[in-house]
Amino acid sequence: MGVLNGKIIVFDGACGTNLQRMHLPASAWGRYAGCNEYLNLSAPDAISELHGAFLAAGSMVLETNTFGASDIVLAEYGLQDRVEEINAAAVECARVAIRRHQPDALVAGAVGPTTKLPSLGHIPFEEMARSFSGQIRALVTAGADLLLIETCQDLQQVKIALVCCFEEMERLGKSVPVMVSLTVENTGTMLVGSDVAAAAAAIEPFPVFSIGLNCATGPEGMKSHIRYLSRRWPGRVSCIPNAGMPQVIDGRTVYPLAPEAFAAQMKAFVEEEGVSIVGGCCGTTPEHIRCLAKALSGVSPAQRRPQWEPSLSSLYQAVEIRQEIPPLLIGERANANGSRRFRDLLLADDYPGALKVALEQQEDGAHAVDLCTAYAGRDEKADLVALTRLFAQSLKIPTVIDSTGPDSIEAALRTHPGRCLVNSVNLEDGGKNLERICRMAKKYGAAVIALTINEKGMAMSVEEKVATARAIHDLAVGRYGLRPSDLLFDVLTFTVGSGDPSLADAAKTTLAAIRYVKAELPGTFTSLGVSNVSFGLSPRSRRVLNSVFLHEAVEAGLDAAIVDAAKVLPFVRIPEEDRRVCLDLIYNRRKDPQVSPLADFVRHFSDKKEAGSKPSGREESAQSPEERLSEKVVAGDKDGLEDLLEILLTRRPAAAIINELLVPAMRHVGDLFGRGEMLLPFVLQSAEVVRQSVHHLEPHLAGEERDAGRKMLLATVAGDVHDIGKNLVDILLSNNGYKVYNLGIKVPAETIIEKALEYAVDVIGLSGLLVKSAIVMQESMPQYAAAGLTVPILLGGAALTEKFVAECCVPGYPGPVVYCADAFAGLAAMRALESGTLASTRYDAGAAVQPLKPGARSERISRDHPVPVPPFLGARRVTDIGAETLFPYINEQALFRGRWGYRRGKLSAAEYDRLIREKVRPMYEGLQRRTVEEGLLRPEVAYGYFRCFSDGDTLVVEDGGKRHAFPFPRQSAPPHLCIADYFKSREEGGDVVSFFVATVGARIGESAHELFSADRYHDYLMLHAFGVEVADALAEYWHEVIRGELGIGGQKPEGPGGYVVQEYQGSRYGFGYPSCPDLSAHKAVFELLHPGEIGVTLTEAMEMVPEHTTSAIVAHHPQAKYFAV
Amino acid sequence: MKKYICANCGYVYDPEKGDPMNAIPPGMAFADLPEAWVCPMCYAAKSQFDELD
Repeated sequence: MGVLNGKIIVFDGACGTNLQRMHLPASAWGRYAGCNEYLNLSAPDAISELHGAFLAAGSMVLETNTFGASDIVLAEYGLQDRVEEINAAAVECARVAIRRHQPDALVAGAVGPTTKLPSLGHIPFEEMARSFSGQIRALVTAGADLLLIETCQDLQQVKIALVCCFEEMERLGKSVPVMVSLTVENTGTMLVGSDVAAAAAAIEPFPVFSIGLNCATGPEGMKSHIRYLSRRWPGRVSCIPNAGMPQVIDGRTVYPLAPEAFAAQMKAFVEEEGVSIVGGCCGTTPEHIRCLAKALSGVSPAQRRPQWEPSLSSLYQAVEIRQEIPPLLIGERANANGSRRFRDLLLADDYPGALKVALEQQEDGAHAVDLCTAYAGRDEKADLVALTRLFAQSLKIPTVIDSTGPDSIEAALRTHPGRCLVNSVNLEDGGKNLERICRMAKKYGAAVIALTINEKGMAMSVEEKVATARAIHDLAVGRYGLRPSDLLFDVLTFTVGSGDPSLADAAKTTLAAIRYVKAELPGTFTSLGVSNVSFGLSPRSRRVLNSVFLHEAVEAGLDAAIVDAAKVLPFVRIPEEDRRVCLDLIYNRRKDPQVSPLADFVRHFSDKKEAGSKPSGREESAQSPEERLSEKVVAGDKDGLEDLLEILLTRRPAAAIINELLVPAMRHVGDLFGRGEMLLPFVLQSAEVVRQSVHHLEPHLAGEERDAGRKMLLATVAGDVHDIGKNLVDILLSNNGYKVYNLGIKVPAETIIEKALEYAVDVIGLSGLLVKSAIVMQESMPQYAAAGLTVPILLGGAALTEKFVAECCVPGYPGPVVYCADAFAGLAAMRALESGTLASTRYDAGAAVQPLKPGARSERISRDHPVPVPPFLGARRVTDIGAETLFPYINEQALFRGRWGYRRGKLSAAEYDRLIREKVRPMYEGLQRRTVEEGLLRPEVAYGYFRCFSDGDTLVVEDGGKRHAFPFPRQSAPPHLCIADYFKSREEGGDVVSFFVATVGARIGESAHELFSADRYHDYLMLHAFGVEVADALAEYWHEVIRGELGIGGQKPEGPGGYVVQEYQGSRYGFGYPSCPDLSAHKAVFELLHPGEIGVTLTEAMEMVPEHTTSAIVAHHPQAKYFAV
Repeated sequence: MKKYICANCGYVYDPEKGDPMNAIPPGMAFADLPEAWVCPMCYAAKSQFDELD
C-alpha cells in the first residue's frame, strides 16, 4: 500500500463539525436525531461529498463516519442491531468518494471510545470486548484498509480495543494496520488520569502501526506529549488536533485556529519532532487540510532516533524496568503467604486494609507492588480481581500479578488497565503452564518473571540456571511471540543462613548466574526475591544481609528485586564491619580458617545494637510530630497539615511551634536553595506550608506573640510598578518569622517615612526595576535622614549595583544602607541585623571584577543600505491577535530557568530532563490552556511607520508635519555605537523607522496578584512570570510581522535559539534597556502611537501600565544588533 | 566539552564556537572563561549559566 509507506500520511479533517456546516435537513436523521452514523444509511451522498471535499484538499486517508458505530453507543438510539450495516455503509461512502476523486486513497475504519469508562467499572471487559469485536469485524469485513482506535480516554478501553482488534483479525484471517490515537485533556492526562507514558507503556507490546494524539486541543497544547512520543515511541507518531481550543462566542462554539496557522504549527511538528501522520479533528475544514498538504509538500519529517525503555505502568504512570539507579524495587508485603498482616486482612475481607499495605509500600519508595492472594480456603481469583481493581484505581505504581494459576492471572490482566508483570512462570511441568501464560502475556501485553525451575526441580548450579533460562527464552520468544524485553529471569536465591553446607555457595552462584544470563540472553532482564538469601537468621541481621546482597546483585547486573522497600539500607550507610561479615558470608570466604563465615556473621550481629528502621509516618513510626512538620515544610507538602498542627498544639505552645519548628525549617530551605539543592519554585511551596501553618496557629497566639519578630517596611519606589521581586521578599521574610508591611508599588518617599514611623519598623526595604528608580532611591536618602530615620535600609532591584549603592546611596544616610541582590540576600541581611553584624555595602574598586563589554570592536556602519518602503505611514492598532499565535515565540529557556527558577543546580542531566519533562512542561502547557480558556491574555499592539532622519546622536521622527526628537546615548569606547547611526541622515536621503507598544492586557497581572493575596506563592510566580514571557513573545512576534511588512523578512531564525541571537535582519531596542535607557522617550512614542487606545498609559516615571507591556524602536539596518552603552 | 545556557535569555555558549562578541576563541571550556565574562546577548554574569547536556 503506497500511502502507508509514504514519508508523510495526510488524514482528513473533522466529521461532526463539518456535517453541522452542511446544514442537512433534520429529516436526514429520521427518528435518530443526534446519531451522525445513521447518515451513512440515510444520506450517503452527503457523507461521500464531505469525503470528496477532503480528498480534493489532499487527504490520502479518509476516516469512516463510525465514531459511535459500536453497539454500545448505537443502543442509545435503538440501532444496536445494525452495527454491520452501518459500518459497511460508512466504508462504502468513503469508497465512492475515493473512486470518484482519488483512487489511491485509503479507508481508515474509525473506532471511537464509546461512552463507557471500564477503568471506573462502568462496563465489564467481556461486554465491551463483544461490542468492539462486532464493530471491528464489520469494518474489516467491509474492506477498511486500516483501523483507527481514536479519541481514547480510558486506558482500559484502549487495551480492550487492541485485544479485540488482533483477536478478530486472526479469526477473520485478515490483517490490517492498527493505529491508536489518544485524547489528552487540559490536565495533561487522559480523562481517567493516565499520562502519555503510561499509555505508551501499555500499548507498546501490541503490534500497532502508530500511536498519537487527537482532539481536545490545538497543536500547541499537544507539544510536550508529541515531543515525548517523538523521543521515545519506536514507530510512527500521529498528530490530529482540533483547530485550536474551542471558545464560546455569542453562544456558538468557535475553533479559532485558522488554516494557515494550523498548517504552520503542524509543519513544525513534522520538521522538528518527526511526526509522520497528520490530520485534523474538530473544527478543521477542507481548507485546513489543503493548507496542511500544501505546507508539507516537499517536506520530510525530522530524523528520529527514538529511545524506547521497556516499562510497566499503573493506570496513571509508567515505570521503567531499567531504573536510572537500579534496581526496580517491587514491594513484597501484599502477599498472603509472605505477610501475616496481609493474610489477616484478607481473611477478614478487609480490602481497604489490604490496599493500605500497598499504599504504604508506595510511600516507602517501591516502584511496583507484588500482589498475591493465594491462601488455602480463599477464592484466589475473586480476591485477586477485586484487589487488582482497587490497586489499579488507587496506586500510582504498577502491579505485579503474583500467581501461578492461569485463570486467576487472566482475570487480573483483564482488570488492570496498565502494563502488568506476571510473577511467575517456570518449566516445572515441562512447559504447558509456560505456554498458557506466555500466550496470555502476549495477548494482554504483559511482561513475565520466569523462574529457573525445570522438570528436575530448582536449578542449583550456574550452568543449570543459565540453561533453564535459555530454554524458557527460546520457547517464549521463539514460539509464543514474546520479546526478550518482556522476560525477567529469576535465577533463584537460597538461604545462606541455615548452615546447610550444600548451600554455602548458593548466594555466590546466584550472582554468577545473573552475570551469565545478562551476557548470554541480551535484551532480557533479571529479577530476584532477595529476602530468601537470609532465611533463618535474626530479623535485624537479615535486614543488613539482604541490603548487602541486593547491592552485590545490582553490581552483577540485577534489574529488579522483590523486597520490603522500607527495609532496604543504602550500601554506603552500612558500617564497614557489617559489610565485611555479609560479603564473607555471601562469597563463602573465611577470615579465620577455623571459623565459618556464618558463625562469624551470627556472632557479629548478636553483639550489635538494634539498627534504626526507615522512618515512616505511621502508627509504628519512630518519627515525632515535630520531625514530621519540619519534613512537610522542606517537602512543601500540605497534606494533613492541620491535623499535624493540632497534635503539636497539645505538645507545645503555638509560638514555640512557629519559632522552634517552622522558622528553622524554612531557614534550612533557604540554605538548601543557597547550595543549589532546592529550586525557587519549591522554596515557594515550602513557604506556602509555613504560611498555612502560621495562619492556622494565629488564633492560638497571645497578643504580644503576634507582633514579635523584627518588622520590615517594604515598598516599590515612586514611579515604578514592578513588584515581583519585592513580593518574593515579602513571601520569604514573612515566612521566616519577620513581620512585613508591604506598601505596594509607586510609593512616594513621604509615605515611606510616615509608615516607617507609624509601625516603628526595624528595617526598610526598597525595590525598583527602572534605572530611574535607582536615582529615586539615591535622592531620597537625605530625605529619610532629615526625617530622623536611622534604621537600616535594604535596596534591591535590577537596575542597582553594589557600586552604585556603596558610592551613591550609603553616604546620604546615617544608618546602614545595604545592597541585596535578591530575596535570599535580604533574608541574610535580616539575620545579620539580628546578630548585630549588618553593615553598609562597601565597594572595593580594586578587588571588583569589571565585567566585559561584549560587541564588535570596530565597525563601520554602512551608509548606503536600501530604505524599505513601509506599507503605510502613521499609527495603527491591532487587536485581533490570538494568544495561541504567540506561544511558539515564548522563550521557554528564559521562562523555565530564569523566571521560574528551574535551574540545573546540582541535578544530573537525566534528573533535570525528567524535572522539565514531567513537571515543568506539563505545568507550562496547563498555563497556556488556562490563560486561553479564562481569557487572561488580550494581546494588542499599537504600531506605526514614520519618516525620519538621523542628526548626530538624535533620531528625528516626522509625523504629519510634527517632529519628535529621540536623543540616544553613544558608547564611549570603540566602536562608539549609537542607535541613531542605523538611520540615514537628511543629506543621505532620510530613512524609515518603526515603533510599537505591545501589551497582553491587564487581566493576567491582576489574576497573578489575586494569587499573591491568597498566599498562593508558587502559582503567583508561575502566572506572573508566564505573563512576562508572553509579553516578550508578543514583542518578538510583532517584530517579525514588521520585518515581513518591510520586506526584510527573508532571513528566518532557526528555532528558538535563532531568535535569541537575532538571526534576522535589523534589531529592535526596548526603551529602558542598555542602548536607550532613558524612558522619557516614551513621551514621544506615546504621541506617535496613541497606545491609550489599547489601554496602555504611563506613570509619572514614564513607565508603562499595565505591567505586561513592552515598547520598542525597530531598526531595519542590516548591521543593527543589540549593544550596550 | 559541555555547552552552557544563559538562564536569563537562552543564549547558548558552545565551546567549539567560542564567543566572538567577547573575543573568546573556539575551544575554551566554560569553566575557563574569565570571571568578568558576561553573556554576549544580555550581559548576565557567569553565575546565571546552566550546564546543558
